[in-house]
Amino acid sequence: MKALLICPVKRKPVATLAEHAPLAVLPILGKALIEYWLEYLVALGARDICISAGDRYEDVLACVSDGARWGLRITVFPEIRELSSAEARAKYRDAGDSNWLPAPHDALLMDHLPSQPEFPLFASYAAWFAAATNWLPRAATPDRIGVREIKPGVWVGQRTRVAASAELRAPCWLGEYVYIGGDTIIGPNVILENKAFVDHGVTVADSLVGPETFVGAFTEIHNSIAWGSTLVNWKRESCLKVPDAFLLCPLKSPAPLFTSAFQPLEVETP
Amino acid sequence: MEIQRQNGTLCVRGLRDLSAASTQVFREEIGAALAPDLKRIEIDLSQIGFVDSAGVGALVAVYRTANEKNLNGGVTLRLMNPRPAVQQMFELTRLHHVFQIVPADNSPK
Repeated sequence: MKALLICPVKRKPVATLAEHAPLAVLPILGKALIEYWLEYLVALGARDICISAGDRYEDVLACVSDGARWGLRITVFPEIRELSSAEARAKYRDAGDSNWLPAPHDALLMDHLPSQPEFPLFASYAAWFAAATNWLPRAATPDRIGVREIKPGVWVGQRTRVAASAELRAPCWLGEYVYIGGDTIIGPNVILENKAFVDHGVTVADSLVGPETFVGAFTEIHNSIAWGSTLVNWKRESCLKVPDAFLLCPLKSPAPLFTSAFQPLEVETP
Repeated sequence: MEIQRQNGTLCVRGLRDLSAASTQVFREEIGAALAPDLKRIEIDLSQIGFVDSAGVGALVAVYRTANEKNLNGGVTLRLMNPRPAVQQMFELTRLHHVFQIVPADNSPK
């Protein structure tokens, strides 16, 4: 069976999130949004999937590759804009081909998590946070290697280190390779994405910390999405680029520009 | 920057920058205006769009100096009308527990 996934392009209400990656590959509880949709379509019986990517096609392709991970055959098509479901059907589905999933599953816009249309992801930062926290109890699926619920409502990924003096308040999700320093208070309603580093004395509540983000000692994050050096208060919809790296910063350096121009010359030796 | 004293309150207005480039002048001018009978410092932040750790440090320094000079007890520091992003900086550094933040709608937090 075939199906079509439509990647959302940049949305103004969550513009800051789209700075980091196309919305379709942004991680939610350790997995890209598109990965949840691929798993959903596999469960429905799809084996052949077309993806319409209107924003940073290369990043979407790098995330899903050829689909072998899911036992799928995936083809990613670049678009210059976001297609509607009707436009995508008209463009990619042959009129006589009946080997497609029944509507509406034949052409899906990924603007929410599967089976969660009442929680639109891109309506606002608050909506993104609400959708992610609502998904929290469903995220620890059996195929997640190493994720364990260490106490009711507290999920911890593999190779995550939590200091003995840290306090974890349910519900909260600590992804893989997360570091939690001493005397921290994490939760309630907290998501720490993979490789987040939370230094000692930090308080995080009702917030999401993005992947590979450093949260400096003794800071306090409430009602916010901290992603790299960007701090968005989802309640007030205000955004701050934190200028001081010891307070909040990305751990991953941006890819160097002009890499290929400065590659060392290969000199043939006699 | 305009500094006025009224009945034990030091009002600072017209502040346009509170970052590493301007904190020295800020600290010196306010430090010179501090008096032992001071009860409150009100700083209007409505024209400031950016505060970094140097600016935050300058506010803490002014607050500490005012309380060291004060004879009657604690001096409160009120930050008036900060823009949302500036307010976020104070919340991130926990200074909203130390200073009184009065947003534009005039409800103290």
